Amino acid sequence: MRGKNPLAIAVLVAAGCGCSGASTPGSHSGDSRTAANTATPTQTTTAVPPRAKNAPRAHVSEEEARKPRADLPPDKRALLIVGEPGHGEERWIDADAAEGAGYTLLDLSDDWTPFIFEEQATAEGEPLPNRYRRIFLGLANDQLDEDGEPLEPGAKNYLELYGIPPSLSVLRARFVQDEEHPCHDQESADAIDAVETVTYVAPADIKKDERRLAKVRDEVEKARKKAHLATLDELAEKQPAMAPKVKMLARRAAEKPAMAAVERRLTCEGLLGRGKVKHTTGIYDDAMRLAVRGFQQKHMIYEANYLRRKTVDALARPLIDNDYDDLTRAIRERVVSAAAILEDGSASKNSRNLVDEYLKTALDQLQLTDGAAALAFFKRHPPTEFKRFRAAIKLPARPDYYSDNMDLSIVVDRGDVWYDLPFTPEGHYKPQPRKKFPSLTLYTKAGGKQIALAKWRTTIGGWRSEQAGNGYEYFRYKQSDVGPRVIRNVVSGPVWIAPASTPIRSLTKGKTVNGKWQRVVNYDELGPGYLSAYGLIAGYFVVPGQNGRNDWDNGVRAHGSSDYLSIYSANGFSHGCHRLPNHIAIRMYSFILQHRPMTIVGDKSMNFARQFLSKETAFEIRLPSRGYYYVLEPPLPVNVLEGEIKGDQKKPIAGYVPTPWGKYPPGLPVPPAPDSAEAKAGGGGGE
Amino acid sequence: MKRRARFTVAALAVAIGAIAFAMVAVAEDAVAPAAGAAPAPAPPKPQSANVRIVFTVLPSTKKATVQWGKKKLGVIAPHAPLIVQRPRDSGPLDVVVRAEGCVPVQTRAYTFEDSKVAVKVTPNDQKNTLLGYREEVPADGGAPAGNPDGGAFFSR
Repeated sequence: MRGKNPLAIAVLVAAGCGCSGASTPGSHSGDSRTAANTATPTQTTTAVPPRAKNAPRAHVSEEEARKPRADLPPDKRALLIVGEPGHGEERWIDADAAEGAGYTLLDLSDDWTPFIFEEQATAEGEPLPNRYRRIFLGLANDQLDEDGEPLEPGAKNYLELYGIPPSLSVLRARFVQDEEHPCHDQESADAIDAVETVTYVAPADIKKDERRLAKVRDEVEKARKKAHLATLDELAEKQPAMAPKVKMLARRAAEKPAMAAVERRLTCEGLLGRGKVKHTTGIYDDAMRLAVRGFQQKHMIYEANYLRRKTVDALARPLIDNDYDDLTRAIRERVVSAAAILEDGSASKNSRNLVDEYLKTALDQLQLTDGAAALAFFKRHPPTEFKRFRAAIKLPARPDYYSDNMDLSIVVDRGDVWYDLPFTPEGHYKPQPRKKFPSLTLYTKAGGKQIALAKWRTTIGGWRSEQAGNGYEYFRYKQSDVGPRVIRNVVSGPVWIAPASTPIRSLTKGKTVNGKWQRVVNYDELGPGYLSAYGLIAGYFVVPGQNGRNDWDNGVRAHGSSDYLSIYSANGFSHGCHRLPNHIAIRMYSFILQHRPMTIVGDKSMNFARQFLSKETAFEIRLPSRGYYYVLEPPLPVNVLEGEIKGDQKKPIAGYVPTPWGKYPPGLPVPPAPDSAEAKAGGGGGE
Repeated sequence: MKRRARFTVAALAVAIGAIAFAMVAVAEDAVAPAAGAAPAPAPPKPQSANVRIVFTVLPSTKKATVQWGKKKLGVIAPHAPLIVQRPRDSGPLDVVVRAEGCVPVQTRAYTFEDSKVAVKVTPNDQKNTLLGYREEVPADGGAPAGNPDGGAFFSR
């Protein structure tokens, strides 16, 4: 089934009128989505409804557009703020007229999704439902869990780090609740401000750590007395050799009140002391780690689950400031979506950051300039209004190279690459330092020049554990292919069909099912879902088939990922795929789909089932769909650069390698590694 | 006599079929747009509130129970499926299917649309045919196996 957008003709006419140059502000909303379908040869004579979504608007004067229309229902109106900051007047105006006057409609509704999860339909009006849309919305609104089942009352999702920003209603509740319970006092803030980080001491090592500190304390105290000095600071000054120890003791002393302040803050925010895992005061135990993780997820802090700098900084800030940052990030994704832009300043030092420019414009026009203004805004608008809530904003024109059919391409640079085994013959870890990390750059070609729109860190493959056919785990080098490729299929809510070589231990998880705790298949990793191996969206790298042959798919994709630490870590590797944080992957593919010809295929059903044995139970992976397919026509060019090969090994080692720590039955031969596409790289889920 | 009766029934069926076809054709004609006019998009069909999930086991001669957490959903009798109705798009059902003498199977049914869940059950004495079955390591703990690079990395 092909998605035939009913606006095809209208857009064809618009394209014929020279709309492919610089974009006018009013053309932002989904312009290229409509253009996409013009490439579908089967689309010819579809009726155009009189006021279809995203249809070109008739010009409306500014004066006409700004007329108050409080009488209009929510789906016909948009909020305009007129007047100076601090004295602004909120006014509901006619949304269609606003678009006609060059305004962009910023969707602040609770049922907003990025383009990849928007509702689509065939030309005949038959919906092309996306299985994951309902779950995405349920997660964003704190109504559903990752399986699409109702969330427990009062439970929060905090999934922004995984690409699902909270809805405006969720943020509204956060602002209002935090005003009642500020969880912030100056004494605690000062205690946290006094440290940069809090040293992590594993619960099992606490006594050992205390003994070590006592020893150092004795040592410096003896030195102070011997030198006849009044304080340790004087000792550090007079005897520089002692300075690091004195500094360390002072730092560790400051960490105690900081830790206590963090405990108070996390408890007040409802993140510590409410779960089943018990916390022991002053100790960075599992309960504390989970609370810190919750805090990081709530405020989109990319850090390991410890009290490191960014986390500590956020813990020292008033809640309303963090809430305001949360709101600006949520609005950022909606601005990016409404304006169909991508440039975030990542391409180079001098590259333009349209994302921040447009966000600032939107926040200024909405007069959401700080936490207090945002709180006041939310108090003026009850939660029910966010069921359908659009704002009219005027955005600057996009650069000249924007059009409905941009000449886009992707370059993946693998950076520094090591093929050597990451451990010595004795089984010790062998460092493989990289100075240049892998990157993914999206280019557009305009006026004969390649313009980098954005450049992000990504991953390449490395040494990974795999389960062989004999049931034992081995190491295998998972190669990221080099050379020209294309992306033909972009899949939202993609499903990863775990290759048979996937370690069984990762394929099950514990879950409460209808009131009973049991082990089930771990669909988190299979998808569709934000934790899935392919994240919330994936583009499939293939070598185009020649002379009527099928594309060659070696299992490599560029996809979203919840494993953000693997993307930013010096030691992070994939199974061959190129990972991006989910929100970045969503932005990139939404942009590509909105600025390239494409066909919406919709949900691609399959009836996949595979069983595996784990602890006397057979677990059946059952996947009814591959995901929601968009087909790029023509496909998007991709080039993967080899990078610089480091170490002695200049080519990847083929086949399985026993791990030094693995226990294998005596004489068990190392089995041959499977050579299929799905087994080689990321694998699974392809054509 | 029998042959004649059969013929009569067949003729009647053909006649009814022809009339039905003609009625459909007439009905279609009645709504067909004039030449050159754009067809009006048909309104999408409303979906039913519930979906139907049909559970079966393979081999179908087996009797099995289907358990959803604490609740027993029902029994799949030999050659008789278990049919369950659930609210549409209300989240998946993680169920365990148990047949006597077989390895229990944990599987999932979805509520996005009507579906059939045919569960293969494996006799306990054939569990070594399932993916993931592995020969146990002997009590002495085993030793590292050889590797494809001739032991260059792990020779002792």
